[in-house]
Amino acid sequence: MMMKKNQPKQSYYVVEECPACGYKAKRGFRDGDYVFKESGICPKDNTVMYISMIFSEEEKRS
Amino acid sequence: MSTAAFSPIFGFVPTSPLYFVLYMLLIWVPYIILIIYGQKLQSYSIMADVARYLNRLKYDAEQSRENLMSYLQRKGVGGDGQKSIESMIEDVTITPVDMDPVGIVKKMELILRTQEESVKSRIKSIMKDANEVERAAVANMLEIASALTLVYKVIRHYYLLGRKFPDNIYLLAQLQMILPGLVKQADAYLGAMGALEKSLPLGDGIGPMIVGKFMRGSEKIELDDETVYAEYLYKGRTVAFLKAKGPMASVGHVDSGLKRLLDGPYADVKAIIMIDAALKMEGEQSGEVAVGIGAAIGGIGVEKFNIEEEASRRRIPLYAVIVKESIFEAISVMTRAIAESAENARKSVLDLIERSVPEGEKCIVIGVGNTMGVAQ
Ligand SMILES: [Zn+2]
Repeated sequence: MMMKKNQPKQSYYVVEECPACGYKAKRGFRDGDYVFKESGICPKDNTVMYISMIFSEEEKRS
Repeated sequence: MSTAAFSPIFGFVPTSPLYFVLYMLLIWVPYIILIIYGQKLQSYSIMADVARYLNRLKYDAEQSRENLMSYLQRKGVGGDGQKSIESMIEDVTITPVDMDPVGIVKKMELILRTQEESVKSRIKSIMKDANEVERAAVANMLEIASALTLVYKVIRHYYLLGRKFPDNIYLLAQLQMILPGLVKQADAYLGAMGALEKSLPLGDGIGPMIVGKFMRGSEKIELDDETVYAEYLYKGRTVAFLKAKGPMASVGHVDSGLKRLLDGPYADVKAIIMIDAALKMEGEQSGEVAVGIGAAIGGIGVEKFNIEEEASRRRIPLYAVIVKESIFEAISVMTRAIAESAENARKSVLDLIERSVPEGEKCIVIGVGNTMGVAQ
């Protein structure tokens, strides 16, 4: 009765941000990720980006 | 004419005295039964309802224990170690006497610190090869399993008492009233275990996340093994940003960290600003940022007491920046709305610093909350 009845599935995302130009990119969460970890390279100016936020979002039904 | 008086009732017209008697019995017997046994019947229906919720609490408690054990298994902890940690679920903590409440906070602090230290050292001795993040995850999972087990046992106690005295309908009715909310919270705590396994930030982590962004790129100084700060210059003001050390699950010791800063290089601060997630009221938007006055910190109240005492003794004003969220959001993986509120909260903090701290002066900003999944 109180079991999760068709609750939408949660997916975890990561936003990488470039400290130099503010470029942002969203990608899926990978194990070992944490906020303020260095991750990825900015496609605009090749600066090392950092993870600025991690959040959960309901999966869109296709 | 004599039968017309009955015709309005179901259109039934008794045609003989026997019918009339049967008719009266049909109406009155159930009515009298309900008068005499109504409360008992109601208490059985409440009992059935409470039993369903109790089952759910039992499921949560058992599942939390299973999650903890399977996490330990995956981290390579052997059978003896698993048993030893499982036994810690039932460990009791006895709160100090409150008949004479003077000085109770210090006693409480001692008990909580002792409990925390003993759990930490026992986990450390069992998980020798694990890293800090994994050990902190186990400590937090253990806390959840203990809490869920205790809640289940307390509710079961009252349920069984209620069943012993079914005439006391109010005992059971009280349970029935609180259980839906309680079960929802228990479910959320169980859900938080999934976040712990992956070390995902919780909604409660918004305070450390805002402060961590200011600390990024500066030199971090450890105040103790779970608390760090960094210095940051903003428009001529020197600001110490203080938070629990991440990204492992920890709330740090922000009260003793603050005291150390005040006793040391920050004796003459003009303000203490605290950033925390606060419970929103129904109807309020999640992620709303509010600015106020006072110590923004939850928990049992030990840290709040210590911070207020330090601040009032030195006459330093306390300011608060809070991000509103529900209790369920606070103990679940951070939602997008809350994560995106960080930018607004950041602006509020800078605004507050400009308004309340004159140029050339110092202040301290504390990010309160569990810093799991958030570094600095
Ligand atoms: Zn860039």
